[in-house]
Amino acid sequence: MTVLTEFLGTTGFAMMTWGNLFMIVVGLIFITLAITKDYEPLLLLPIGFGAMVGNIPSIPGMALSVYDPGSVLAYLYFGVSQGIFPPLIFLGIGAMTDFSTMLSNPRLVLLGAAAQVGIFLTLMGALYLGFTPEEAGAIGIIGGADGPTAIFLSAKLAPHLIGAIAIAAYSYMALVPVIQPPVMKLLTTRKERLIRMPPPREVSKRERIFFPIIAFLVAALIAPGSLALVGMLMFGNLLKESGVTDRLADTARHAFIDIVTILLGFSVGASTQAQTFLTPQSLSIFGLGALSFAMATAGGILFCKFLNLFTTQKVNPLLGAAGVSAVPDSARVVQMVGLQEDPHNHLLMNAMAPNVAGVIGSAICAGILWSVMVG
Amino acid sequence: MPELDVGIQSIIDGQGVPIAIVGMSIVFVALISIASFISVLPWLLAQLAKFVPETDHHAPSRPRGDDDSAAVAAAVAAFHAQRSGAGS
Repeated sequence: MTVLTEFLGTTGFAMMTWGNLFMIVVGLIFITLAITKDYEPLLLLPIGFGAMVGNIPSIPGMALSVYDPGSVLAYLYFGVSQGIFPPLIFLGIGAMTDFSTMLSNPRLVLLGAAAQVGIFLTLMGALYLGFTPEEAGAIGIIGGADGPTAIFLSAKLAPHLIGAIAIAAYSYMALVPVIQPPVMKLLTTRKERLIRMPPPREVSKRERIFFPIIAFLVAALIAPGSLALVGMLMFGNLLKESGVTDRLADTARHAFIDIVTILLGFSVGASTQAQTFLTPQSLSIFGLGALSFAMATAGGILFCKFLNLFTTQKVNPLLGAAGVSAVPDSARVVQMVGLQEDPHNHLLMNAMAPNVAGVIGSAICAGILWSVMVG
Repeated sequence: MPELDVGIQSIIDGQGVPIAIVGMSIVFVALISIASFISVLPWLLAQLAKFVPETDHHAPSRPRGDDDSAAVAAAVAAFHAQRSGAGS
């Protein structure tokens, strides 16, 4: 009888807290959103299930959770806590990204730089709320709208905030179609939204091969902190464009990135234990995250309008919203808002240029912040 | 988060403004450098092509053997069908 009583005392039911229960419900909501609404299902589903796993109370003395040294989950989480998974994800992203539209219209690259203002404004907001500079840097990167980059920088600067930052980044990435359109419509006139863009020119194979090599050298030499992210991104792209490593590129963009995504999403979810996750800090991070996406969108649009003051060939300012690196969600939102004004104005191809430039830009920002904070 | 840390002074103490200005400047320098490179790349490659013409030695070779046979067989079948009135 004593054994049974002791065993019952170690069950999840006995040790469950309201916080754990709340986080399990959050996990279920993520799973529901992924399945019923298609909101970033490849990430929200693993994160949601991971959140459920991570919030089953641990038995004292047994290594079960991601925070218990030697537990299975701790080994899986190692890839997150050490920033290993994000560069591997970038390898896959590079192997599936076509930079042709960016190569055909280099002016649009600047929109990818302008949208990074969201990162630095969020950093200031986090400092204002009392976060340390390192924490503020990690929170600021949410404004880059790039989940792997956010996890990478959090692992380096504020490992204790990885869970909250990752959940905020991926949640808002899923909500890009909700957050961006109001900002886009607020900051542009109907006349501007009707501007048509020329179709991208055809890009030669040599251009596509040279680009990842030179872009890597430029980015890594300017911001060495971005070495791992930009390096893997461009390496993946070279595998794709070289034409001689199709098998490797194929693996990187399919099986490889899928495996890493599963491990990343699940272990990030499992790190959201109520005891460490449900804090006032997390609430502040979620608030700042929503603002950061809006500010990044506004930054890209306003810079595009600024550019239009000096150029004869006007750029549709909606493209500025694609400067955030939520690929391809932001580009799709630009296409959607453009089509609402003119059903024949297809902006998707052009929007992919600032979108992929935003990926490079946010990785460079992560490198800069890492260098500045540890320097 | 101690309450005393909240406020503009925290931004000043954390060097928020210099970090933002320097950070945005570096991002722009990096991406302007990449954009400039992209702009001159077609010209550079045109110069390169004068010395090293672009060839795709990995392009698939012309279909031969069985593929040719299949094409011939299809053509013969179509011709036969037409002659025998099976077509429209």
